[in-house]
Amino acid sequence: MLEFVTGAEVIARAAIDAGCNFFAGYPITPATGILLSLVRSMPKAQGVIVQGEDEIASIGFCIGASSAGMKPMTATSGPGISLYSENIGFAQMAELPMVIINVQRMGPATGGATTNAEGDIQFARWVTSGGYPMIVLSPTTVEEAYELTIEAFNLAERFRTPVVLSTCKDLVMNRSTANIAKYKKPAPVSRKMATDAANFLPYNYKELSDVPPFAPIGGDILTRINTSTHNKAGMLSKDPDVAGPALLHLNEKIMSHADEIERIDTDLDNGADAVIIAYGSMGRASRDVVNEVRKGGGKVSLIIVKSIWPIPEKSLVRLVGNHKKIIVPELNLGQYVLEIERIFPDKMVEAVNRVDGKLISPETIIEKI
Amino acid sequence: MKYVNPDRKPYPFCPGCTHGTILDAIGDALEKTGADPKRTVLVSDIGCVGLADKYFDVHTFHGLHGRSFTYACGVKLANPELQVFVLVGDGGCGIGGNHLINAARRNIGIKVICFNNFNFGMTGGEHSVTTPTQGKTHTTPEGNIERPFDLCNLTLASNATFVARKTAFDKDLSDTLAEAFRHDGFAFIDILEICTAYFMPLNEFKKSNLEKMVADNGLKLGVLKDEKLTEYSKGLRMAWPPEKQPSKPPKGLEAKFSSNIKEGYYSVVLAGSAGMKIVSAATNLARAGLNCGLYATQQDDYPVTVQTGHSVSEIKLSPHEIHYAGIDEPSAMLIVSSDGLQVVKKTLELLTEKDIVIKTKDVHLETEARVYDIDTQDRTLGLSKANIMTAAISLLLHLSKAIDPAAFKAVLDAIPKEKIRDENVRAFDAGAKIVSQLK
Repeated sequence: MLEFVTGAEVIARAAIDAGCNFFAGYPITPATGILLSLVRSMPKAQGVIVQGEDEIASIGFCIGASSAGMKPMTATSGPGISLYSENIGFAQMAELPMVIINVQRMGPATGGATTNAEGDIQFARWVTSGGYPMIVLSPTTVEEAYELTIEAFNLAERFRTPVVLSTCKDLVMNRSTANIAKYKKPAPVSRKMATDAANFLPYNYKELSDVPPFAPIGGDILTRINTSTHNKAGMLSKDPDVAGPALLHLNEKIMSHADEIERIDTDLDNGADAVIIAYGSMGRASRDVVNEVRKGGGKVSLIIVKSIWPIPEKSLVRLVGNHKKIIVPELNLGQYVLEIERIFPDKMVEAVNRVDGKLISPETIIEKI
Repeated sequence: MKYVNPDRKPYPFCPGCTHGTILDAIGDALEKTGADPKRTVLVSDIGCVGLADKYFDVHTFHGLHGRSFTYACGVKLANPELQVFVLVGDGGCGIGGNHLINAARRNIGIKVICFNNFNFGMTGGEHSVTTPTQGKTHTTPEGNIERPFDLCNLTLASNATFVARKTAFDKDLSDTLAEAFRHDGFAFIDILEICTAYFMPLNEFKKSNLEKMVADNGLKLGVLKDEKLTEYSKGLRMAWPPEKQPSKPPKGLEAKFSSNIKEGYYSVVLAGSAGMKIVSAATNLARAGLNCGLYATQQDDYPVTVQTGHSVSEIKLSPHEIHYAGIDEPSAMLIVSSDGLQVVKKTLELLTEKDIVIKTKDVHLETEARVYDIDTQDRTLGLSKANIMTAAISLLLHLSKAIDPAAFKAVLDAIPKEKIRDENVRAFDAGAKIVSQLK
């Protein structure tokens, strides 16, 4: 059976199914549909929903709620994600899980609020000061938006970190057909809770890559949340022997689990010279490229990266293999292609870009093959 | 004292600074109210007061400058049973002013304790939103030319339900703090004090000067307001159902009708103006496609204005999954206003004689496609601005038979609101009537 839905409705439904019980957001096109959907469904699920006075407050509420053990989500677009920047760093530093839906729109600043683009790809990676890793997922269809929203919660909880779902106006505001049988529902994951009250430390890791067990603010184990560099007890410290490992831990707990975070769809064509590496709306459109080329007797491979950060470098190297040419279509001036060029200095890498709000047509990509 | 841990003292503040006095008074106030440390949350802002966390054996939370209010609100919204208090300086009330007034306005039950010493201490004596006019700081070396906020007036004007003003030298400070802790709602306590590192030496500002400032400005000390009102985080839970309800499962459309779209795409561009229900009509067309087992995509385009300007939707239908939602060559274009025409003019050039254009009579265009007019002046059709596009879709489906018109009718029949349903069904009939008149 088919349904005709907006990405906003599907993301809102996925959030509830993932166990999300807290949403705070500020109205902003094209992300508002998620807020509007949840205004009705969240109270029914006995969850809290608040429209903040601005984006900073909205993500601040989420941070507070996460520290108290809730599973929060927020959704915004360009100007809002820019305002989130400071607090995303907080969530990284204090190791507080949450899901941030970034519905991309055209251009910098207020840009084109009702127009499509995917220009926040590098921004999502470097979204806050310090340069620590972000987990960023990007769906290509509404069915994937459902699954990846739940995965975003699960990864956030698993690694005690903020996770961004990077999507766009076309997917979230527009309607498209979803095949109900294709909705995949991963089992919800919750953060590992601390049980040993006597020896509890809020930021306790043995190996740098460990994820510390969590005790909620207001629970029976007293805890300390701290956005400044801190020791394992959550007390402020900038002692190099304390702060140094603590910061390496923030990196290690993500990067040493890159394999677990990786989500890739592949459609490799044996003997093809060209491979398309795509994500988001161009990942979806690239499926048509593959169909067209093969219908005409040609060969082409496709790699869709759904976990865009950390970039699944090892798998890309393996999958690209002997392909001679890599085509990277993007609705920006060429952002992910910078990574592809870095990973494949000896391959021919071709960027296909468009920033006028329209999609890149399959024909345009086919010309590059 | 079970809240402030004596083993961790002394506090790290400058000699003569009263921050420690206030922290002790907070500990006393918690004692007086019998707060359970496990249900008590200290949220500290940035500045000297942000060093307070480790001296308290309660849950502590140290966050970004000015945002402490939002974290405290988030904690309280998550768990209404907690005693959540914010330690903030006058600096934090400046940078986070928007959060302060909105927490007050909403009556979220956090207790905001402001350590107001008229300047930034930790960063080196810069002026803040409470630095008095003429006050000297390192960023106002010739004296402050700005006028300060009276934070009590600010929160009172924001409908705070509890507001008090004290000085750090008041012997009954812990009593007032205990009153604030007992208040079931937002509370703001402005505590005036002296920064011995900067404001005192730069302005020769001693305890006696503070007392004179209070007297000269007629500042009332003590509780200024204490009003009973439902606390926000408790109030929002009153709207909850007794049992948690799961999300609504997806509503699939069964394929009960047939279509003549057997391969490739059938694409329709629908162009009109805001207020003409273009997007809704387009969605109904797509749903009609689903009623025939087709896949559909809808792309909408409109300016950021609300009830003015163009509104254009593109519907793509296909028997197989659609990956690329863009339309390169439409099979039909429905144009019902000149606003809409302006936006789709270029696409019109792509049409050939096998394609269909349906337009209202006021729209003037040239095309190789077959053109059909809808006469909006014909009263017998029962058309209005809100249903012309539905009539155009009906006309298209009756002409092209791309999908069974009954599939579209079924969508319109299922519209829940009677008035809108009738309006749409009337337009559907109008489309059928125009076709019959052609024959």
